[in-house]
Formats: sequence, C-alpha cells, structure tokens
Amino acid sequence: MEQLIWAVVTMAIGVGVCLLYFWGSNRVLDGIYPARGPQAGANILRANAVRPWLFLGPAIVILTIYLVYPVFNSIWLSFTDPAGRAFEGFANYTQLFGDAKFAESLRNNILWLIVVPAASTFFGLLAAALTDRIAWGNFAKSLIFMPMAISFIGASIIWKFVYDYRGEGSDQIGLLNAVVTSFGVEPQAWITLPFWNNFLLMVILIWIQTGFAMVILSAALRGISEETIEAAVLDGASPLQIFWKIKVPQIWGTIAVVWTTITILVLKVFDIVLAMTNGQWGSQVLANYMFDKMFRANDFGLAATSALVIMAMVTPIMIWNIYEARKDMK
Amino acid sequence: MSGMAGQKSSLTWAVNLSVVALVLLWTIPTFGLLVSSFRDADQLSVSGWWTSLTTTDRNIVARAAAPDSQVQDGDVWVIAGNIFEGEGSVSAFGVRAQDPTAFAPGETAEMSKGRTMTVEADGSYRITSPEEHSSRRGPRIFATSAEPPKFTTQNYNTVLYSEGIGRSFLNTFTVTIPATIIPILIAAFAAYALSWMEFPGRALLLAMVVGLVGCAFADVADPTSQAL
Repeated sequence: MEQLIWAVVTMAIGVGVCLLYFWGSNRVLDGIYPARGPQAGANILRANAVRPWLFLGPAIVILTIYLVYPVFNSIWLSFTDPAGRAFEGFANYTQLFGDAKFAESLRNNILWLIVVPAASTFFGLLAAALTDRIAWGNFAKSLIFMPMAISFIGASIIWKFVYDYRGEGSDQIGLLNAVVTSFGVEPQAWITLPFWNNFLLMVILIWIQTGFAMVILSAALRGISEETIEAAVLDGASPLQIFWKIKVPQIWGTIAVVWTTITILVLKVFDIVLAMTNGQWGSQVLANYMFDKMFRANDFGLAATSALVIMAMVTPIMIWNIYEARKDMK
Repeated sequence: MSGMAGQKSSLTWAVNLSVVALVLLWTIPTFGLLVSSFRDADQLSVSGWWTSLTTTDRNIVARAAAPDSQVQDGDVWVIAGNIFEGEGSVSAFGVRAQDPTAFAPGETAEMSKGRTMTVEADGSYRITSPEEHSSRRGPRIFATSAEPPKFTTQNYNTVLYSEGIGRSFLNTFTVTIPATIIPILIAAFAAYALSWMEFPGRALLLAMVVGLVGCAFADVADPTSQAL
C-alpha cells in the first residue's frame, strides 16, 4: 500500500512539475511583459521573442543531456583505453576492424538493413492493400498489428516456441520442426544454423514491424484522391495496374518514411539477438556486439567505437530526414 | 474502396483467402504462446501446443512402495500400490529402463529372483516374490502413461502470486505513465514553438532534432552507463 502511494506520488510530481513549468513560465512571461498599457506593442514583441525558448527549453535540455552529450562523449571514449581514462589514439579502431566478430556483425547488420525494412514494408503494403478491400478488414488489421504491442523480448519468447528443437526421436515441440518433420525432413536446430539463423531472427522483427508499416500505409492508401482511381477505372486499368501505377506512386513519400523508420530501428536491433542466440552461431549484430563489449568485456573504449560505427551507418538516413523536414518547412 | 464505380472485383475470394492466410501466419505464434501458458509444465516440455487437445504419452518412472509394507499372501510376499497419486492411465510398462514399454497393462512381467510384476491400466501394481522382499527400497516401475489433455491456471498462479510481482507491476506503471505523458507534453510545446513561432535558429534546431532521432540508443547507453 505504501508502495502504491509512493508510485502515485512519484507520477503526480513528475507530470505536475512538467505541467507547472509550462503553465507557470508562460504566466510569468505575461506578467513581466503584459500585453496592455502604454508599451503593449513592444511588450508583445519582446514576449514573442522569449516564448519559443520557454517552450523549447525542456526539450533542448533533455536532448542535450541524453543525446548530444553522449554522442560527444562516445567520440572521446572511442580514443581511450577500456576504462575510458587514458588516451590511446586509434588503437580501438584498429582492434575493432581486426576483430572477426565485428566483421561478422557488420555483415549481418547489412543483411538486416536490406531484408527487414524491405520485407516489412512489402508485407505491410500487401496487408494494407488487401484489408482495405474486405468487410472484416479492420479486424484482420488489428490481428496483424498485435505483434507491435509485444516487446522484443516477449516476441523472442514466442518465436523460441516456433524454432524450438528436440533431439531426433522425441516429439518436436517447436512449430517449425513439427511442420518440416511432417514433410519427412530431418528436424533442425534452426537458430544454430550459421548464416541462415540470421534470416530466422529477421523474421521476428518483420513479424513485429509489418503491423506498423500496414497501419501507416493503409492510412496513406485511404488518403489517395478517388478521382485518380475512378479515372483509371474508366480508362480500363486492371486492379494490379491501378495498384502499381496509380496508388503506389501517390504514396511513395509515405513508403519512404516507413522504410527509413524501420531502417533506423533495425540498426538498433539487439534485444532479439540477445534473447535468441546472444550472437552465437554467426548471428551477432552491431548493437549486441557493443552491448557485449560494454557490459561483459567492460571495454568502454571498444564499445564506444562500435557505437560510433552504428551512428555512422545511421548518418545518411539522418541527413535524408533533415533534408525532407526542411523541404516540408518551405 | 467502397462506393467506387464499376469496382466489383471478381477476385474478392482470392483477396479474402490471402488475408486469412496473412492473419493466420501473424497470429499463430502468439496463439501458441497463449495455449502454452495454460498447459501443464510437464506436458509442455514433451509435446507441442497444437497437440494439447489430444492425449499425450509420458514416460514415468515410479518406485514401488518400500518392502516394509509387504504382506504375505499364501506362499508369496506381495507389495501393492498405485503408481499414480491422482488419476492416470497406463498404456505400457516395463521392469527395465532399457525397455520401458515391454508389457501391456495387465500382463505379468518376470523379474529377477523369481519375482513378478503386474501393472494394471489404472496404475495399480502388484509385485510378488517367493521370498521376503529384502532391499531397502521398492523396485522401480517404468510406465508409459497416457495423459488426457490437461489445462491449468497454475502458471498464472505462480506468476501472479510470486514474490515481488506487485513491485514489478507498480514499477511498470510508475515508469510508463509519466514516460508517456511527459515526453508528449514536452514535445507538444516544442513542436508548437517550432512550427508556429518565428525565431532565429528555428531551422537549425529543427534539423538537429530530426537528425538526433536517428541516434542509436547505443551511443546514449554507453556514456550514460559510464556516468552512473
């Protein structure tokens, strides 16, 4: 009971302080520069110069502490020894690029980057296009969306039941092995198959992210103006032609957004690998490699260096995002 | 697609079928977990969840009652009892670990030193010996038990009443509720400022915010954990 009270108090304080800041600071600003009296005009101008910074303040502070500072600190750490104290020059970089496990992680990450966003977007588009045409579409959508609500670790547990392997002779309790044995194929210890296990892990993320892609793309498909489709129908276009030549070009921007969002997510993927294989059997990825170096090997220098490699891979997407955002602003 | 002229696709059934296939593919793994969560832990580890409605065979090793419970019956000494504590059904039994399914229930198995063992389908056994049973422990009985489908809420009991679960729930809410409200609040005000107010550095700030979205959590976790 006492715990419950504390939890409620903590939540109330957190949210309350936040609300109070925005409300209070706005009030104070209006108090200092009241929009009436002889100097009303000048006061409004001054208040309007200050107000954006009041509103942006918390966001800037939090982003600085939790995003900007860590990035710069990572850059510094990548040049230091494992404890993060003495300067070591490029030693971490040479060690990293000489590590076979790192090369494996990089290769796997590139595979993930190619397969997962493409497959999720494809299945999402497929699901969106199909469910929009049927009566029970919304029900189907909510079922396909459901995995989005499951944490990566939870999803990994679910898929462990699918990939589970029991020695030959005993009953398979993994769904996949049960299916292949019913076709007379030998059961496999799926997640230990080098190279192919990567794809089996990717399936989990695709399974999760398809729902996300579907919801966004479905909204975009519904936003297409009916006139263009009617015109195509009157011109005698087949459903496939309408889909590929009329609809898809019109939602191209949304597809790109979905694609890049999933791409960024893929670069951070780590829970699934940690839970399923922990990087064994040739399935390591960069984020888990970094986690390994940081919390198991306690090598902050090397961990920061691999973090920077991940960031370097995100950079093109960041630049593209900034470019798109600026285009929207104009 | 509703309300569109001339758009009654003849492929409706194909669309329906594909959606059914998609939905099945996407829900079956989770459904498996749901079924598994209601299954008995012993059955769970020997048979797939899709067999949960059928009878499963489980190999059990029971030990007969200790010889001090033996009774003399005519010229033989008898140990009797039941290998099940509750209900069960034996589909085969054996007297050696190498051959646990050698005998059908009701048959009589020969053991060493002239002893015999009979296990009935309901799990009751009877071991006879021409001399008094001498070993300290009763002989082992290997049986294959056909277990009917068994569903249980035991797993939920274990989880919901386990030590510290209340704390975990509470912590989850203490984290998720403010972690949902506060960022939305902060972001809403920042977004309002960025989109509706004119001030120097607006474009630069917007670019920075959008760019930082892509920062891997790794970059953050690393130095932050070091700082702690």
